[in-house]
Amino acid sequence: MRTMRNIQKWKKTLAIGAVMAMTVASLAACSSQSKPNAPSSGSAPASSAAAAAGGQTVSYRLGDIVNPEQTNNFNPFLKTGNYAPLFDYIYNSLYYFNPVKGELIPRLAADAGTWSGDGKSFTVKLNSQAKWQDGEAFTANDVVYTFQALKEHAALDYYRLWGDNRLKDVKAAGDDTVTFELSAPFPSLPNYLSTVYIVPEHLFSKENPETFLNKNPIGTGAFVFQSINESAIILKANADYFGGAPKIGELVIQRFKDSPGLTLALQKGEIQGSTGTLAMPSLPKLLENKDNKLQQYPGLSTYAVIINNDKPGLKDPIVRKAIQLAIDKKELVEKGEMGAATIGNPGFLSQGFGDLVDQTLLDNPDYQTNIDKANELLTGAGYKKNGKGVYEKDGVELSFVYYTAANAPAQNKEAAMITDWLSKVGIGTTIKMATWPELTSIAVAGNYDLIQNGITVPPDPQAALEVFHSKMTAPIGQNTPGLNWMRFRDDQIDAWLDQASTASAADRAGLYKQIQDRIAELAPVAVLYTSGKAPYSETKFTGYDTTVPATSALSLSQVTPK
Amino acid sequence: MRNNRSKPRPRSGKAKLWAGACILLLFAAVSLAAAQIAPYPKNDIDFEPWLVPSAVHLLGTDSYGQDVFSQLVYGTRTSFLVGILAGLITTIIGVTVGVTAGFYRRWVSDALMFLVDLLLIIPIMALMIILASFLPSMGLTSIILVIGLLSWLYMARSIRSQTLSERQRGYVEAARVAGMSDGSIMRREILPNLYPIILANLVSVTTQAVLAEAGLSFLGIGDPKSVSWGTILALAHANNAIMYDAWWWIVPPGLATALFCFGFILIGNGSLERFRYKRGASQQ
Amino acid sequence: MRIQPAYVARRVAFAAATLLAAIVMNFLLPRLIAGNPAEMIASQTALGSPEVAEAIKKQFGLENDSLLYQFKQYLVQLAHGNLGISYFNYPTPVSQVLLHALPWTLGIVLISTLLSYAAGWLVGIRGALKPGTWFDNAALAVSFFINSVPYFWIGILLILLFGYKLDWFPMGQAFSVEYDSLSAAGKLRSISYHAVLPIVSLAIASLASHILVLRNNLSRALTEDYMVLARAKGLSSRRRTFQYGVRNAFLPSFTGFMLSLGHVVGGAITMEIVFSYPGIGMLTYNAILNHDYPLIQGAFLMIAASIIAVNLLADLIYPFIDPRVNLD
Repeated sequence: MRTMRNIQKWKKTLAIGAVMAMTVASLAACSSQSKPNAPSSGSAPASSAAAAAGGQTVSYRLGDIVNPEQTNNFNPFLKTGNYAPLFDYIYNSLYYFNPVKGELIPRLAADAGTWSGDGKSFTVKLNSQAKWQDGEAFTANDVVYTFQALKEHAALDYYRLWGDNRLKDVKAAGDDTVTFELSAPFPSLPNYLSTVYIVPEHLFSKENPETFLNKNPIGTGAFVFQSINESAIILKANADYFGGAPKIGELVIQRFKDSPGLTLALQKGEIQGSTGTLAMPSLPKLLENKDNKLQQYPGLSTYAVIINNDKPGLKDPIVRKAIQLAIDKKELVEKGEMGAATIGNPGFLSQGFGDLVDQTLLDNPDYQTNIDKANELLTGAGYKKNGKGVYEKDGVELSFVYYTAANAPAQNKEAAMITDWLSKVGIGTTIKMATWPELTSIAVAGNYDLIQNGITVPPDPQAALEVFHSKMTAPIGQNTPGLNWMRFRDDQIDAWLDQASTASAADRAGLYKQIQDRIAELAPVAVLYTSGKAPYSETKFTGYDTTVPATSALSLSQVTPK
Repeated sequence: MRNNRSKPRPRSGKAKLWAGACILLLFAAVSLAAAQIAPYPKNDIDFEPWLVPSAVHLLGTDSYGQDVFSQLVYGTRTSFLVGILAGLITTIIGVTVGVTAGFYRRWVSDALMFLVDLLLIIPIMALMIILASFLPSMGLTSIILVIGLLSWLYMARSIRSQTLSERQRGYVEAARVAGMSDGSIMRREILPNLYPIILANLVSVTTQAVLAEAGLSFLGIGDPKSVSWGTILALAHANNAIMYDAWWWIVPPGLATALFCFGFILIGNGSLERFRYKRGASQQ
Repeated sequence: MRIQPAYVARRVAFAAATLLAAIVMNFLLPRLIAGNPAEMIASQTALGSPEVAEAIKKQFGLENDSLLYQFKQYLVQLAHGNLGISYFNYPTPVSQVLLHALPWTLGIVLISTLLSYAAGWLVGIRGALKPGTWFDNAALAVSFFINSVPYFWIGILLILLFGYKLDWFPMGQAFSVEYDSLSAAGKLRSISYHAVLPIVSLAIASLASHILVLRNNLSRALTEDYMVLARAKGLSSRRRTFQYGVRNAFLPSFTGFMLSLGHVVGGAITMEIVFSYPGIGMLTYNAILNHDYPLIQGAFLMIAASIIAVNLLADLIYPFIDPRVNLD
């Protein structure tokens, strides 16, 4: 009401609006015709009937940054052209990796699965209550089809599950059992199974999974895709969901361009949560409203100052150590991330991996911020400050180019803080900015000294630590085959990693601790923080499940209106 | 309109010139003595975030706990540098291309103007983003270069058309008869007559350069360590100063930009009016 | 009044040459950016697997590093009216991506351009006819001020005031979330409601320079000799002002107006970002950040073609407004 009255005050504006409306009318007509994303008529008859009936649909609004190029397809096989978090609400994988506790939760699998004695075969019993949202039965053949598609289309097999020493065959045994056969023991397999969404064979087998746009995605998940436009993606509750019908009628993913806009909407109560995006400086203001909450968990993305271990100066572990000591991670998390990030472990493994993480490293005095000690280390190793106040040894000046992301003000501010600290330990830096794609390509090719960026690992501790395996790297100028952008090589770590790849769970835990200690000691990278978060509001809804991310499908299918 | 007044008496432009000069001198002084004027060091993050303006923090603090007034003072330096240097680069190219294209006929003129017309069809803002990410470093130098090298098109057009009309005048022919080389005619004869139009253009490209720097910073392309009014605004936007009612973070940089550009515009308009006034006086 | 065929031929030839040069430049420009999208996609999602990178490269026709080869592919595609496939919207054709964003940009930018020229000319004419009045002085001062502030600042302040504080208008987007379930009239209302702030902000931002240009030109025209002559001939004041003064002052503005129209297609990057508006500007900006070469090329080519077309149109209209042009 207030809005309407106020608009009328703006007669001039309205007059403008009238002129504009006429033009827009014709535009709207042609826009909706040319809209490739509009669902073809009849795709969701049930839902439109419900809307027409004018029933009180309880609508939960989630906000996220969804760029236009992310709405091109809804094919969970593809890594580009879609908005990946959407798949969590529509599809299911055999297991769900819960980043809050670092555990696997069975989804389409009925149990934790059974390993054969030789560790070369893994059998999964399927959830017999699951069914496709179009009414078709979900069977073992869908699972087999999904994994066979990865085998036939290598470009889709992002984690190389069908690579050497990994999957040999995937077979159905009856309707509700699937067996994964391996060429060699691969204990991390269940973790990787959580990265593959199972797709319906009856819809995908007719198409080429590499190019299928899947404009009307049909999954087994808690929410059914309804429509998409420039402002939102609209999902409705799956009444037949095997985990129990969601208590909200509709899940609207409202689209934003940037995090400030999203945060304002959260503050205004236009949206009730986000899958992780938030303008961090707004956090204190947001939390002034007691119904607004921020769930924080370690997650799989570790932000770090990535150090090129092959560059002169940075080859020296003492210098890398000085970089590590100069950075005040606590201050960085407090001022840059408003306290809403987990301080990174110098052993690299995210706290999300629970018991496998060497917690002692966090409080170890050797790894606490210490400008004086950094200076001592460098002078002790024979470095001398030159006229510019920068350390030098054997003609190598400790001056480096420091890359940070363009178009990311918070990251840039943190870069300014970090380089300031580095200057206090006599390490000079020139900041350069590059777009995110450039940052990655620079890191892969090794044409850098220091890069401030995130390293996102698969939900598997072995893969997370193999970031430092020498087989994952390449000389400067050549692209690394893995995430070892640091070009770090250490025979001891390689040996331990190889040993762990096929070891028993107990042996692995011990090896992982050793590896983390050695990583912390050699400082191939300066870990900053890990950041997983889900802001949510209890103003209108309650019953979030915070043992998983509060805005994940598992939690939102439990949420009830107040 | 009254019929009995033949021509409105041109304004002398003096007042504008003075006002503009005062504004620019003020900014020049601030950027030269930034370290003395700013109460706290550049990028100092030692304070509580979101403090409202007080005697200790004239313009409060931002989300990182930086003193906004100090940032504003240091920002003056960047904006001043970008405006002056990029404006000069633009003017040099614009005048060179414009005068050359206006002086020579046939293919030189055609080729230069074809180039100008060709570049005019490119969306300049997009091209600046592309170039800024192409240049090896995104420091202040590249920002100045990108802006300076891409803003001369309209200027070249306007200088060319003025040169065309100057060329028709008798003194060019006279100089030629007297055996002056093309270069000297352009430099010594034509150029002095173009001063007012060059000055007007210089003012507008300088203003545009300051605004372009602010725009690029807003789009996240710029040096994160250097502080400019644009980066302050970009940060205020990205950190939702709106939510904290932190007007002290949003309004001052915008006003500073406005006042700075206003100073240039005053000088430009003032000198044009002065030129017309004087010429008008000499013709009567 | 007849247009000389030679004049038309010259203008058309010029437009064709520009288009050709634009096509070549268009191909080269995006390739100047560092970074390889295929490697980026592969390393972001696949632990940097070289096999995956190779497969993705092949999908995009980047398997051959030679620029000449890629240029040939580009020309062949272009000849078939194919602008290629967007890397980041794979496998959607670039033309489709562009067409999808175009209506939003056209709606906002076209209307605000028309509005700001109309308002700018009206204010400018009034100011020039009555120089020194409070209206003229106020218009000048406001114009100078607006000309000196960054556009995005105006946009942010408008959002702050009318979107966040007063809640009169939405803070961004092109229409409301419920759009798909609205009636045709509801959709129209939603679009118009969301378009108000972007249009007003763009119009305000460009209004100032139109006022200044027209006012300057007109006050100069009014003091020209032919105006004195016209008065001597006893023509009425009104007729003098409009037939001679305004018409002559209007000519440079007309050129500017046509150029603006050509640029309409390019959208307004900053506006679209400030208001999260899903138009060509935002598309171009994202494409540049993503190094989506085909999309950048497509967007630039579309903009170039529309500017060339509008310029040609302007050239052909010009002789009717200003007969001297024809004799050039």
